Amino acid sequence: MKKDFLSQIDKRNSFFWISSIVILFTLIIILLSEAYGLNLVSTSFTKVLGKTLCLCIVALAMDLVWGYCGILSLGHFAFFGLGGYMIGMWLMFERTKNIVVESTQNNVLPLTETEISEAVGTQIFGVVGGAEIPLIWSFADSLLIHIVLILLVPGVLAYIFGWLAFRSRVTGVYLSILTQAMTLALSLYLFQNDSGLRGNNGLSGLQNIPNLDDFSQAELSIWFLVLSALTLIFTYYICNLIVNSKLGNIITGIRDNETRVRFLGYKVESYKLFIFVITAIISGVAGALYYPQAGIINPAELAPIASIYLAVWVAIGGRGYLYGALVGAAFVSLASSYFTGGQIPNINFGIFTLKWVDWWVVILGLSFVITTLYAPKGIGGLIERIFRRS
Amino acid sequence: MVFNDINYKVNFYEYLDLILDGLSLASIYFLGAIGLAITFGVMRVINMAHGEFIMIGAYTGYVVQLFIPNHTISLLVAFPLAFLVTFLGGVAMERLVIRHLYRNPLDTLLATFGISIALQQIAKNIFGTQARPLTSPEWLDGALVVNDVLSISLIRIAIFVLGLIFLVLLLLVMNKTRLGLETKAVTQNPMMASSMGINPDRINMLTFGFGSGIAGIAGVAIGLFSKVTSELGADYIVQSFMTVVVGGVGNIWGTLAGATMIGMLQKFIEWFNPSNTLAAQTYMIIFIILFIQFRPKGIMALKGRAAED
Amino acid sequence: MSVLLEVNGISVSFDGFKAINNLSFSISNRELRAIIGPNGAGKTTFMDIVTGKTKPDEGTVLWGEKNLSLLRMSEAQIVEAGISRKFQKPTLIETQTVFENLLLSLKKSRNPLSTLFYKLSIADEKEINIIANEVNLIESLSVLAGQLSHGQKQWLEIGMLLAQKPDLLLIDEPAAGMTAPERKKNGRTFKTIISKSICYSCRARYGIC
Repeated sequence: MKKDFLSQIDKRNSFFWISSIVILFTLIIILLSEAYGLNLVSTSFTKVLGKTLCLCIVALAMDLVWGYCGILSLGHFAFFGLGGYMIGMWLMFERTKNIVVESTQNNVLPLTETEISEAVGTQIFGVVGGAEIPLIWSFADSLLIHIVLILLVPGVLAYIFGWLAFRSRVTGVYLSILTQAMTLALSLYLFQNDSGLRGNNGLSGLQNIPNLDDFSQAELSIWFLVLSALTLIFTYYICNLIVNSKLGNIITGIRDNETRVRFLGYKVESYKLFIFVITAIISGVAGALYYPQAGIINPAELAPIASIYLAVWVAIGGRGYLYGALVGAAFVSLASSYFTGGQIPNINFGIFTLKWVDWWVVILGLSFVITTLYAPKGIGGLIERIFRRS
Repeated sequence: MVFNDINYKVNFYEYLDLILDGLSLASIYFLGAIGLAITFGVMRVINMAHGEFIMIGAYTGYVVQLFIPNHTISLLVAFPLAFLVTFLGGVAMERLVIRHLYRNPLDTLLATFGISIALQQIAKNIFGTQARPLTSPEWLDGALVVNDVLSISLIRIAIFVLGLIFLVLLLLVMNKTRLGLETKAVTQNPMMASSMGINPDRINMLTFGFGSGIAGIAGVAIGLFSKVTSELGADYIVQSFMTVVVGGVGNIWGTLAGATMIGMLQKFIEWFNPSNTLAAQTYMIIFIILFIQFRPKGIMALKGRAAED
Repeated sequence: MSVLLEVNGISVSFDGFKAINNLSFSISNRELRAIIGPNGAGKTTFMDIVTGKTKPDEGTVLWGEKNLSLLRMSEAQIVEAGISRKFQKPTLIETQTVFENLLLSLKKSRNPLSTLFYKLSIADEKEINIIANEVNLIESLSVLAGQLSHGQKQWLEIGMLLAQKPDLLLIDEPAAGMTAPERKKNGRTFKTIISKSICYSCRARYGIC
């Protein structure tokens, strides 16, 4: 069977190329970094890059579930946020506890467990008028349990939701609306003050990693960059494995002709559920890496619009191309932070001044329209066309 | 005995108040969703910018009030003007974007989302981020006081009536006019319709414009009781889609049933815990998600082979 | 001969329209049956019921020696029990190659994890080649299914049924869109695979069965 160059790249070798590029990129940033290198890349920009890598991870998940399996989920950013909340709980609790203990170190009597817990409760929940630590924070003391929860909470939510939705054969647009409803419900729930997660204040101070106070933010930002890069490579490996296996054939089969796959004897629901849950877990992990770099998470991050943005990144990058998802997420999110960062001079047309901060979103929105109309396969599709021609 | 009787009466009026509250919320949802009942329900186009048409309608009302200080007259001008503006917007959008994407509903979702965020930002750039007032006429300010327990603000009655007018208008257009008939023909089988001399392009354009125009009128009405901001429409969009889906796609009565169910339910849940409207909305949505599991095709479902695709 | 499929008194109606009224039918091992009738007679609906796509309002559908009720099984379970179906309109995974279509049809574990770690064995490749040869598609193994001609699509779908090694084949209008010689070959193929049971629906005017 003859195969042309690009499908070669697309299939087996893309993992090699992508991981090489990501490793090279990370090494360059380390060499230029404030903490370990020539001090040419600022800590805040390192964090932007680290966060972008996390967005690439969640975009990969989105591409797998939508580009390959055909489920346009408008809920994967909610899973991302949940992952962030799970790590955020530990970060905030542990740090507050350390501060409380430290500040009373010179006391004659050490604090009792109850006193510590009361002090921590007042510190964390004072803003929402509470002092007691809610039940869901029971394990906030244990990093290990919370790492498990990062996987478990998005996974279980995705499992329950997916089981219900796929079982009753909700498909296409209806499924998208349903996932959007799930996302809205979750963010509304978190907005409440008595959700136990500080309502609209969210969790903050996440950039300070407990027990690592001796290290500067400059150093931590590099660690997180490396961690995000490694996770991205690992995720790419997993996604690539799935896409190129027989399972990959089945899920693209479901995307293109669900009836045929069902009448070949495959339990379509199980496959959808499998992909939905796997991608939800990947999203949760990405979120858990993102929010310590962002420093703060609040329910607005989980709003339905964020998940639509995620879909648009993948669409611009190219559905059904794993590297496309990376390109789309990196390109759009970096461009957004560049244009809204106020670094570009405004353009004066005489009577009208184009302020990039104000008009960037308009341009972005219209570029979504143009992409869907004229380049439905996104950047990935364009790349493929160029390669095929030459 | 007498005391019991009073108690009973108070209880009765409290329930009545709850039901009326629910009905007025239902009519708001209905107003938000009614345009979608056409563009999504009949044409199956996912228009994420539907909320922005509502917003444009509301801003139109605000701008009209800047020029015409009399609130009653300005409203009378605002309604048709809002319809016109959003009708034209809808037609333009159908011509330029949606027409190319009929085959792929999920792509429409993305493209219209792009339009949605662009329109929101443009509104923000023109009108700023602070809320603009859209004042209702004085004669709508009062309330219909039945007794100490039960009073209904006139604006709610007006919205309820407006909802009813929309319903009747829409049923008339869809069931009694040539446009309605042709719309149904085009959505069910565009090839067949065009071979019978109907121009599907024209019908799609008009229907989409009509649905958008209705969203514009709804926007004026919604603007009367909530603040006019660039995010006005975005606040309604998810609920509006749910209303249409819960009611049963392709059925205007379904949208009414969906709105009634969601509105009543939300007020009812709020009644158990009045301090927490966010929780009520959360539970309401969870209920809807569960409801769709058991009736994936909504309250008014089509049956049989015709409904399969 | 033991009865393979037994359909008893099924009726189904859509919005008051009776698509099937009190139908009984049975087929045994190594039997070839043709179901004929004009448009709207209920041929496809009958297959929908047997394969689990539609649930009848009344009646029973029993399968195999153990007399399992098919009405309580999902489509996928029914396929695993040994009933395969070809649709009226060729239904393939058009974005995948002929090879991949056949690969997915092979009788293998249908569990997500085992498909993730599935490795193509020489035996499986050989089997695919044999089937492809049978349906005249050996030259087109690496062609996308969507690029085949209508007749070739019909053949590929038949090949996909063979790959599943079913006990009962339900073939809805297999001759549609085929040329006269192809139809002849079609008939011969079914005769050669009659070691298994086949149920066969075609419009009366074809009269090739």
